Amino acid sequence: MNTFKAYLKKEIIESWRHYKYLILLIGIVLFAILDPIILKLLPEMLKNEINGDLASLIQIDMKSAVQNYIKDLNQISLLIVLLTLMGTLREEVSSQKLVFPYSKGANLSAIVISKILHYSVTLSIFIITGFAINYYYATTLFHNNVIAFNKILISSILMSIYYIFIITLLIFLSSILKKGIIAALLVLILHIVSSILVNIDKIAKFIPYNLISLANSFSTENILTTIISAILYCIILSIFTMKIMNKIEII
Amino acid sequence: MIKAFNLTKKYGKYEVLKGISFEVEKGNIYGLLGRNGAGKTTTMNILTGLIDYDEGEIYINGKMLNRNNRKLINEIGYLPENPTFYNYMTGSEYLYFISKIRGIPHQKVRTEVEELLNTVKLKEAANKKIQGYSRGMKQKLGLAVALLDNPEIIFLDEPTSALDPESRYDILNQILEMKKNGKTIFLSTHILSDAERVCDYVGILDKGKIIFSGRLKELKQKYIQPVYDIVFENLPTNAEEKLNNVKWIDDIKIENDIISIYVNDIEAAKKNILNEISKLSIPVISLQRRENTLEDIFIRMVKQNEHL
Repeated sequence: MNTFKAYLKKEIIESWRHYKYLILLIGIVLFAILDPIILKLLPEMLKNEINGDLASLIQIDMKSAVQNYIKDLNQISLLIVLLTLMGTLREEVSSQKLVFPYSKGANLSAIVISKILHYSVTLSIFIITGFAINYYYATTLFHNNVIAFNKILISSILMSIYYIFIITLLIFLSSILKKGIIAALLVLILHIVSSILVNIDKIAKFIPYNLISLANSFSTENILTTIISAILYCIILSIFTMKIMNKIEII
Repeated sequence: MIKAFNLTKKYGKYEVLKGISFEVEKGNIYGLLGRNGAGKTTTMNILTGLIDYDEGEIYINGKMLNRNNRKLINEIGYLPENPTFYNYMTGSEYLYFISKIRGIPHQKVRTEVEELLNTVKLKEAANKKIQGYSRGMKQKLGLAVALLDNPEIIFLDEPTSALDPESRYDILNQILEMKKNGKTIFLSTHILSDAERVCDYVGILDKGKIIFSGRLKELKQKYIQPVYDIVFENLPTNAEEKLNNVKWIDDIKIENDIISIYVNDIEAAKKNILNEISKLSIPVISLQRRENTLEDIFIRMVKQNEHL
């Protein structure tokens, strides 16, 4: 517990002083504001470029404004998160920063848990905040096809769970690979592959990427299997990471 | 206090440590000497539980050490050769961070951190970020981390390498101070004058083997070999050739205008040295006899090991 508390505090100091919070906040929340505004201004911006009735061509409502934000979370924000956090575990091992803590009795499993938990909570807060801000702008700017806030909240939780899975996977790969960038690229490849695999109905509900599809549909039907599967994968990956960390030579 | 028997460590097929054994008694300073790549850091990392070993046994305070027995770590403090920290923290923050890992009670931490910063003379830089520290300051902070929570045994890996003379002096004094406080210190170094200054016992590690382990005094007595330093007006060109054939001369070193003659039979040397020098027919400015240093002994022993 001592190591867990010490490392949780250390992660907070590190994220603050290395501007990780700021980068993640911008990467996640900025699109929540920008997307509805850009969508609102899009017909105006294209008016001079395209002839015809744009209002009938581009029909944007509140639902599509939120869906656009989910699409950005699934693409640009994911990339920003991966690039910001790719060195989380590997950099500390390779630069021998764990030598002093380990020689003073640090528990390596607690270090892994504190890192996963810290970034899971951070990203969840940012994602839920992002959805709330997006909801505010989307409902202010668009009045058709409005979705209830509780459904938006469920979508934000589903996206948060997906990001927690991504973080756990990134930290796991970072514990076995020698370079953080390779771990980030592998996560990205797996993310793209699962976006294809999710189209197979029989296995879709067991693939964490399905959380994005569910968030995008604002539906609460059949979400439990995917949530449980993703949480289970997170637990398994965390256990593997802890086992690996307890076996590697940290110097 | 520390006992190692037949310690072996392999990296693939390469055997770094080939069954080394040594013993360190409580309250002493043991210096592990060796050239770069001799296996000193590997030994340190094994003794501090950071890496595993393939064969052998290690006992710390009578209890066997292996990587699964982490309780023994509580009795140890370790300063690695290149201490690395979270550079965005201040020195003081880092000590608090390690204190938290150790589980030192909150009310005790402040006093202990302040005392340690005083001991290592870092109080003024305590609130400065570590990224702004010099190499010497980082070494001192590392020493403070090693001393945190008052461990009985301190392992120091090359504590003075790459330090300026002032920082080196400070660190060596702190090592002697730790000994006064009853600590058992195991240090590795390739700076033999440092070992000569602080160590009670030494072990010479070469090619993964301990070729000597014992009291420093014992080593000097056993391998004592007088040296004659002769300063000539002009350096004789064929001196080495001529003197090499003399039976009682073991080795000759020429540096600038000084010839150092290493002697294996002191009585014969006393009788014949002037005679041999006069044969060179070059004016002598001075002739001085001295005892050889740890460095001389070390080089000789390593050379002998190479011939084996």
